Amino acid sequence: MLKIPMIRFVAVAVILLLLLFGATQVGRGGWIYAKAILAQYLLADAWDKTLTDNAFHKPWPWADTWPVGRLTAPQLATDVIILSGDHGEALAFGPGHHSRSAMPGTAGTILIGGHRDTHFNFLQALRSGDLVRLQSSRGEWADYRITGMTIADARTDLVLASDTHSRLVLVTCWPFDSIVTGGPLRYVVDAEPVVRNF
Amino acid sequence: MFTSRAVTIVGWLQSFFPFGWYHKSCKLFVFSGLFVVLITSQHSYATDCHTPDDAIGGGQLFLQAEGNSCFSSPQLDMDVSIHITGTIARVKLEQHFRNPGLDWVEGVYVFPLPEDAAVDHLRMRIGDRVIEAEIREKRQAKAIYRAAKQAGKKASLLSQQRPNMFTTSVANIGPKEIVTIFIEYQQKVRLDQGQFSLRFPMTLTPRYIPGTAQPGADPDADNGQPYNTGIVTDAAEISPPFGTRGSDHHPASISVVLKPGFPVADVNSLYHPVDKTRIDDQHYRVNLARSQHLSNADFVLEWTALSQSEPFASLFVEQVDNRYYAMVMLMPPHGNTPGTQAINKKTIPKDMVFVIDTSGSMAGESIRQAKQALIRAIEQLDSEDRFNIIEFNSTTHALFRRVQPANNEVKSHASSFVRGLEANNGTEIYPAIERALIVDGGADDGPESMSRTRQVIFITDGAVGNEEQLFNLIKNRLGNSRLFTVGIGSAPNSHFMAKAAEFGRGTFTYIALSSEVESRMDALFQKLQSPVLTDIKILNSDQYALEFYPRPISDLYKGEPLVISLKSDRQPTELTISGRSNGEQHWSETLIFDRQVSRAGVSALWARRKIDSLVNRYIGIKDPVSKDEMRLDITRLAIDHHLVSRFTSLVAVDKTPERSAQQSLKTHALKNNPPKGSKMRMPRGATPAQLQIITGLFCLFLAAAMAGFYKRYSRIRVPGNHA
Repeated sequence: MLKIPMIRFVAVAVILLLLLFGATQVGRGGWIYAKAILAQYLLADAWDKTLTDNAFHKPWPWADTWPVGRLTAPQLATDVIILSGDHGEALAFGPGHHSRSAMPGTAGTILIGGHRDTHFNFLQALRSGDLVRLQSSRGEWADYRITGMTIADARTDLVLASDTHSRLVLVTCWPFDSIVTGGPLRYVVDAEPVVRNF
Repeated sequence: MFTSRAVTIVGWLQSFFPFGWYHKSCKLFVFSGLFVVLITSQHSYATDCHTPDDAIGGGQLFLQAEGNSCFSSPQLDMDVSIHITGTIARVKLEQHFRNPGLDWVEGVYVFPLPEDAAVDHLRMRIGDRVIEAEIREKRQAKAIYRAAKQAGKKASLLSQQRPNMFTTSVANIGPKEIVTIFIEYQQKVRLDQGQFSLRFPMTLTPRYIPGTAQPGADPDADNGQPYNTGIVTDAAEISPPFGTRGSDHHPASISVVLKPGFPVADVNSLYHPVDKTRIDDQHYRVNLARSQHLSNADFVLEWTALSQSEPFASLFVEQVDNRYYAMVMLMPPHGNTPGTQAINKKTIPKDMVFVIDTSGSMAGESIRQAKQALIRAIEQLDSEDRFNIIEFNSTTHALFRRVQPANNEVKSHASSFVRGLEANNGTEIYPAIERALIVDGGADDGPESMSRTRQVIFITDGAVGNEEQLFNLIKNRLGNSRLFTVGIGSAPNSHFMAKAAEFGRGTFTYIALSSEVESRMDALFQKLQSPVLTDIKILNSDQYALEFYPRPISDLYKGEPLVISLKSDRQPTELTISGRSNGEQHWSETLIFDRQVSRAGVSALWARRKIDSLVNRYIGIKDPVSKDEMRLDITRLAIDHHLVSRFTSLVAVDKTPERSAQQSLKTHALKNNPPKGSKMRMPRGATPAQLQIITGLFCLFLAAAMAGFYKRYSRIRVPGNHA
């Protein structure tokens, strides 16, 4: 049975390869989560600076993005820093503000996108009537009431932008529990400002 | 703020794994076996939430303007008429600002013009009245405009942000009213390799703004990147908003009258479907209607002369207040004489450094063209040449530590490196140029490096805002290297690339379509391999003062004409132009001013080139006193010639106030069209993290199971063998 050492060798090699591959995959996946969590420390620092001098600060010198707002959902104890731009580079670190929509703290439609499996996972727990709060670079908080959730097809559906009508739109990929990425469907949460009577 | 951070992190952990993560992962764990096949194709993730390029307008979540009923932002459309006579073009640009709403509005439109445009006229038409603008020092013009705006008068202001980027502001456009702005400028026709061309830019490529946001930056709702930085102090002014893809935010019609002064063989619009009418063989009309195109790619018209009728030289003069201005275009007999032919055959070994821009603005069609161009360039290298490739976005990365001989092995390695490049991140050009200009031949072959021609080929869309910092770098570090720029995309920043090539004493090549890559890169390589005409001098036989630009006259590559603008106090009669080829061959030509063609605009072009030359010096000056003197000189020159410049603007003000103090005025930044072919970056809805972790865990589980089996198997079978 000369073949046995050969079989042994192959088996050990396969096991080692599987171990190696498994470990790198877990590592890479974990790195995405780690990046999403760790970046928030630096983002919180940059946002603190923004709140003190009302100017925007890059969280690290080579960053392509910087904090432009802070979003909280008090009943879910969720608190995220919003970045400028909704390109992949920004979304790895936090939800991104669509650059052609209104800035937090100004009138008009504000559009924010985020990853469904990291920063915007909490969107699925939001219900109509829930409150979300958005902080602008001037430190002011605006309250928004969720008015509805829809599933949209990004190939055909558009978000209406208005200069005058204030609205907050949060977008993430849908379905939430799909492990394959890249689908055309989006989960869109609409919120209207809470009018305060003084 | 420590508490807020703590909340943030706790919130995070909850939001990653709160909703039945364990349950879900058990279910998925079983399924994940099916996905082992997917493991090998990591690239499938990269297409996440992106759509195919050809599906413009579909597949992306866009912002869309609401119907006109509640949309009070002014609308803009344009009519462009271009008159080409000989080698000078006079362009009239009409911008119609239409206010569809019921408010009083101010429209602000940032738009591109050719990098050598000499803008000398601005007129404002309200109904039947036309108001001519005056030239003023920039700050003064702005103050006049502001005062008029506050007084409720109609006013318009045209100022220069960059030599190829201008802003029109129109104040107090009444409800349902149209205000038309007329802008006029001169431009030189470009001649390269026997091909005449004229370019009218239609839109801008959004520029990357390096540096950290400055304190006190005012976040403006309408702009994409409105934050000034330490490096780019006017970022807000050069970052206009961009509109939605697929709709035209500034529809433009173009009509061209072409009278080149010689029989034309062929007239072509490179990127637009046009109607051509032949009046006679020296007179053509070309029209492009608004409905025929989206104004999202530069309009380029090319024409060639019938063979044997190519002009050898052209000369235009203009007399203004006893001063004589002339523009000379001259084709040196490059490589046509027997003497220079001999030099042509002797190829000079080169060191070539290719610098490729892989920043986010290059994503889509641009990076594909750039890669195609670079691979073409590598194929063209001679075995005696040496080369290196530098890739940059937010960081700079060189393929080799130093230049490598261009043998087949190295070339194929380099080509596969280029094929693997992807575009993302920022555009930090500075370190890349710095790296490219370091002569890295190494100590062992120092003398050999010195004897070689060192050429840097820089492939980019030039979407940067810190142009001047880069010009200074090129000027100071160039040494014996030569910098050649290759502009990629439908709306590259040609001012940056033309000027960088000028400072780098090389040339600028523009590629807009994939189908052009081969021909343009081959033409560039032909230029690079041919001897260069250097030390070009102008002598006039009489001893009168002659002021000419550009100064010093730049080197000429094969197929390039010499274009000079000059001024003298007396009518010029004779000029001698001389130059040297490869430091050996001497060439000289005498021009006799016998048949003069008078042409308006020659003086404006001369002044524009003088301003260019002074601004080049101004950029380099450190001492504040002499910098200020230079600024005054430039301002005076621009005002004398009625030109918009870095320090002067045109301003037109109506006499009668129309808007009462009770009515408010809203300012709107007009949107530019996103350039054709560039990708809209839309949010990815998900990361591949889950899939990676699950497949990873599955593999680990499989490995453990196999190890278990293996252990049992060896315990049973191995002793049996011995028995």
